[in-house]
Amino acid sequence: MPARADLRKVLVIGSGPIVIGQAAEFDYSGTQACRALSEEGIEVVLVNSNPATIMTDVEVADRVYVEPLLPSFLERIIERERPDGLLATLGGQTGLNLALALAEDGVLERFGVELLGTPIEAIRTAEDREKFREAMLRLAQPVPPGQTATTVGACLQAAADIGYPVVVRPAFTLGGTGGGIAYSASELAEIAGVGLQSSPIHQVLIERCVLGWKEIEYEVMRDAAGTAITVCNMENIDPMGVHTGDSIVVAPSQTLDDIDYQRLRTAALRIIAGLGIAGGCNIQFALDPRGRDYYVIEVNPRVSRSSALASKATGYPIARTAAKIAVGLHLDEIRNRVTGATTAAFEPALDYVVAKIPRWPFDKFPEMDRRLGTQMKATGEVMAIGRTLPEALLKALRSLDGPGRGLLWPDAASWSETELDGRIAEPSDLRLFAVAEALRRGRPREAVAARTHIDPYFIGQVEEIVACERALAHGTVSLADAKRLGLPDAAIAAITGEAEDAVRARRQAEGIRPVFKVVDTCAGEFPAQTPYFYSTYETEDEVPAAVRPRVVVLGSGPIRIGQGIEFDYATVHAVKALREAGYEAVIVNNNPETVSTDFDISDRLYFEPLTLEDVLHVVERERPLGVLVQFGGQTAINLAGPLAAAGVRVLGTAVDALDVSEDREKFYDLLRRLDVPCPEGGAVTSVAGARGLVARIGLPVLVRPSYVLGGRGMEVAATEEAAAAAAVKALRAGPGYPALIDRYVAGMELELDAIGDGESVLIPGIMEHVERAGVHSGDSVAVFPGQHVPPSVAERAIEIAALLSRALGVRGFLNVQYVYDGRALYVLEANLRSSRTVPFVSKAVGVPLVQIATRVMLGDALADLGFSGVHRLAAPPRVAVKAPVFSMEKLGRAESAVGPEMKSTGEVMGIDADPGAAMLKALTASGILIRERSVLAALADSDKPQAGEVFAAFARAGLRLFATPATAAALRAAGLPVVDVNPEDPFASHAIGLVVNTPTRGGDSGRDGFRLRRQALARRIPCLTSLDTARALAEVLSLDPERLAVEPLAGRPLQ
Amino acid sequence: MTAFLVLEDGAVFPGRRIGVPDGGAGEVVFTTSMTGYQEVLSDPSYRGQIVTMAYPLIGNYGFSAEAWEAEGPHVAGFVVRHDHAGLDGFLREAEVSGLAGVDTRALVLHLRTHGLRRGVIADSPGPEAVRRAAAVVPPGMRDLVGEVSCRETRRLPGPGPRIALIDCGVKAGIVQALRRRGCEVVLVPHDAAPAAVEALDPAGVLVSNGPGDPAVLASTIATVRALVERVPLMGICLGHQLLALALGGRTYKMKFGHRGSNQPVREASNGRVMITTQNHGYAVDPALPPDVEITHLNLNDHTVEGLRHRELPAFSVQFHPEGRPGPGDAEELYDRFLAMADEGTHAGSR
Repeated sequence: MPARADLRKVLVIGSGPIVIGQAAEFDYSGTQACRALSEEGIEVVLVNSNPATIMTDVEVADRVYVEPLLPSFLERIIERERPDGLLATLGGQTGLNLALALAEDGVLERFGVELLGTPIEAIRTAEDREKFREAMLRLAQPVPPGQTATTVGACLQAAADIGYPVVVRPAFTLGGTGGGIAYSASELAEIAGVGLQSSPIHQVLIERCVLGWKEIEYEVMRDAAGTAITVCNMENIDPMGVHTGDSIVVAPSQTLDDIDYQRLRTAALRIIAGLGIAGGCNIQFALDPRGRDYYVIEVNPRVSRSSALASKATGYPIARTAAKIAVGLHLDEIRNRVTGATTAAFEPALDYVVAKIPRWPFDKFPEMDRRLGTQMKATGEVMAIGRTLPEALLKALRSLDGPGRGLLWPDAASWSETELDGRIAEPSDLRLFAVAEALRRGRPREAVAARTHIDPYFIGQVEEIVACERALAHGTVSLADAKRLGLPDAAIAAITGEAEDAVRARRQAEGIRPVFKVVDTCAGEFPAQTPYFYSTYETEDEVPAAVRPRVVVLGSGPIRIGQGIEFDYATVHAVKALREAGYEAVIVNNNPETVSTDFDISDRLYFEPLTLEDVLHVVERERPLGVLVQFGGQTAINLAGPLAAAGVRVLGTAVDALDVSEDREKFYDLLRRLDVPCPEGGAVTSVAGARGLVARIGLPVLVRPSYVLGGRGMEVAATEEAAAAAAVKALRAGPGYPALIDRYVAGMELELDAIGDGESVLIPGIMEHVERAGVHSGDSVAVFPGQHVPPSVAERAIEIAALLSRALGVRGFLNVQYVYDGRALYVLEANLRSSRTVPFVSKAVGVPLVQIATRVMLGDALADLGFSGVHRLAAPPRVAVKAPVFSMEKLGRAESAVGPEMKSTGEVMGIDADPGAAMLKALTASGILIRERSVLAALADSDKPQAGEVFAAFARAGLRLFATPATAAALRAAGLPVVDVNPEDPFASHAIGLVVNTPTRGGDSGRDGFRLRRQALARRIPCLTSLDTARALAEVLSLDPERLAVEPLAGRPLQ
Repeated sequence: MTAFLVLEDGAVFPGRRIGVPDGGAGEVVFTTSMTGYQEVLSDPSYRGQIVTMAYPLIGNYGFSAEAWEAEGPHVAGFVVRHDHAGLDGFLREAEVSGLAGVDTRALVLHLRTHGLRRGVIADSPGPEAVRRAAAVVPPGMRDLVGEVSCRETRRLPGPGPRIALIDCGVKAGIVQALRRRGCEVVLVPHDAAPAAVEALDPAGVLVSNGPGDPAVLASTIATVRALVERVPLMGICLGHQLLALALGGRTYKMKFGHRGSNQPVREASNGRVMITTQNHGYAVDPALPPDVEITHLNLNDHTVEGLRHRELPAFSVQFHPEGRPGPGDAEELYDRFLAMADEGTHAGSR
């Protein structure tokens, strides 16, 4: 059956900002789906609030709305566009919940919009814990004993019937939010309380905990004709008890025999058919390792993180296929573009093994609980492909871009036996390293398996690596065999005591290098058309000869705080520009969630770690004209120097200039030479040095480690003691690098992204940060173009950017951050790479900046592209506001107040002709939803003087004011009516819609403020921690969100 | 110890010996099944063949009594990328010669490109080994079915209908699929005379899978031709090819065959696609007599996957409805067979 002729226009809902549990995978799925619909001649309307996505590019859909993902906005878009159908299964939990809301409110019916793909009833059945259990029983599928409950009392009763431990699973939430495992009634009371609050329908499931059972997932597809297939299965190395998003996962399963594999597969097919799903779904099973019992744990009736992983692991495009099914195509009518000869009605066969390891934010939040459970904590993940499990695991480990080398964790050797035992027994990010360490110390495989509940097979695979480490130390294994096992040069060097380049030289002398094999969906049965490669140490290389000159683009690896989806956006745009300029674009990246690792984005995709060793292998194989390092964030930039030293041509800005921008002494020297002011400061390598410097420049100061990302370890210190303590931390955070100390200048922060070609400079405009300096730029609300920047200051900022661009010989991107204290404009830092804000600015001005930068890096002059001299783009007709989004509810004990260290995981954009409306849209889209017209204030003393004006604005907008006693006194003194609250438990007696709590000092979890913020978080009450953000919100709260206009993005494609 | 898979065309694939230290000669084939190595090792259809596992990790989950498809292995050799600890010992005990550490993907691509080749596992890769590879008796010249068929009739009791199973090297999975449905299964040798089968008074006849070229099995073809007129009949894999030949069709040797658990098959009557397990190097020519209807086609290469007689109660499929290894999506075909046997009339593939 061809695509339905009655569907002319389809609305696709994206997943919004990146949060833990919902990351770049939905940009990948959504982009693929939009393209799939366009191929069928369908007009695509897309809604997503996240500007840092490829799916919101004007080329991807016919009309793109960057608007808040809320029913009222969706309703207005539907009213304006009148789509025939709605595709909601590609936007994660957000898309699904929105579709349910639109259906329940009667919006779909009112405007005659058909929900495409999986029917609403199937979605409800899968999401509602009670209906799900009933459905499974009807299909004769076993589920763990359990009961749904809507009160804590009912939870306790249920657990008493089932027996502890029990799992608490809230209905309709994401990434296990609010869930957990309870071993006792008191634990359950606490977890269930949170769980009930997290669930939008106040329902949790109390379920028998099958801790230690194998956790197996199947990705299943089904079309309307009833043909159903499984794309692949996946096995979690971490058994049940750890959220699958936090588990190390392999594909296909390794420890299931054919009988179990097929039994679960058959069950999966029965379930997808029984639920009537048309499209893709993910089914999770628990399998008893001692017998053949299994339970169905969960069904996700939509594309997911797992489906993205399965797509990358097999080459089977699940989202594309799901979109085609939704518009009426059958699986056997959809061509498999990998082979060109077969169809989507088949099951991929793998001839390699895939390992996925999550990337956790524990390096950003040292106070966070590192233990893993049913609530997901990872921000991203890496995937690696190998021909053996050790090879895949070791590749994945080095893709994490962390401090480990192979399975060697820096301080593992110093762990006491008790410490080690704890790290094995309790799942955490360090467990795999701990398992290796235990084996290294001679613990038997069976003992480690018993302590971890990890299948002995996997422990045995780790043992193979450990045995190889040992043999290397004793000189009883050849270098060739160690490489064949998968050990990286860095780990070999650490074991043999050589330098890493010495190992590489030895390898080159012996001719030991990897070959590249193709991911083809069919284990070699058909010739593949896809240029999707991975390395391995075998005999035959399958990379075909290239016809056109090639350029390698380095991706940014896993999504982490400070290095998010923005860099994947840039990578994809760079590829696009390369292809349009006639080059073959070669991508190296390891993140399975992203658009950049979709096999048809580039001419050649190398799914490889982003280390010097691995990138050099690709470069040696491809012999490119050069490598682009400006788009892959700090990961790629950090490789620029080593690559250049190895003789590789780095395109764009010279490596020396990159070094100047990252080396603070050199950079400040340059600023002095250019007569550009910067906050006084310097680099220190000791605490004594830090004290000396502080004495010279004065307090307060900003202390941070050099060469790190997203302001990690950055602190504002107001006393000499605090400065010294911060310096110690910073020195420890970047061993071998100095700590940087600058005078902290309070004022308005400005930022701009520019493109230079050595001569001309293109300036899209200037961004103004709402929060004053001291809040990390990634966590601040930013307005483009800035609305309060005096023209002379803007001129000066542009002049400085042009000066820097010429002085540094910038060819490509330049990002400059400034602070204006009312008198002078200081430069805080410059980054010679595509920054986090490039997608936002590109969307705001409607110009594909990355493509322009890429052309420049390839040698084009800006003048030839129509931008000569210092070219400032005309201000766009609409103002754009970027607001950060945090995932604090997932992060347990972490401090949620904003500060110099970046904490947000994602961002949204509000865009409107009226700056106030743009601000309200952005803040609303970021999750600041005021359900009660009241605000609770608890402010730091330093904020009290300005508080009157801010809270007067809240009062004008009709919000009742509540405050903790000291703050209440200050507000009252300013003439405002305010109600005192008990700081211990302000929420019990008052309905609060918003909390404004500015911390006296972050990181100190003992303080009242910290508790207040956590309480607000648990009640899903928005909490602002900067008075500046509060002011911006207060000023626009009188606008009626129901009356804001919705308008598609306009683009100005590159000529 | 380093050893080599040497093909008749001179191609050499180095590896490390596992299993018994000598032997290992046959037609080299590959399967893309990711699970079920023990089932593959013991599937009688692999008789005389050196089997390459395209999936690189073999032996991971050990071995079990449930996974046997015959009383022991039938492969002539076993080639893998990475063997897990137990595989070597298992092959030794089963007296199978194997090779591990092979770039199996390179080998698969070679066979896919050039077609199946005969080969030997040898200690040295010289011309002597190439000569030995070229001297391996081709499957069509060897009585492979005779080597794996039962020698005498064997009764397996059951409360339900009696099914005569013409054993050309039947997989245990097929027998179990019938017995699970209550059948009394009587295994008869592949060269049993039609009268001997009829004397059993079976409700239906199932012609099994088996190794090698169907066209050389003249007596079995004749038996099937005689029985199909009188008893409801189902053919599986080799049995499917034998039914086609008995009904006047032809078979041919494929370039490298279908071996794996992921072959998509479309059923003509309803358009539904099933994922099937297959293991065959010969196929039925689609040019069939007018009273034979093609019921199933392979979605990848459009080869014949199933047929039925328009008048007689007889049908056959190229794939294995029981999976093992592989999916049981088509298990329901056994029910159709039994319904047909029950009616004793034409039911066939709907």
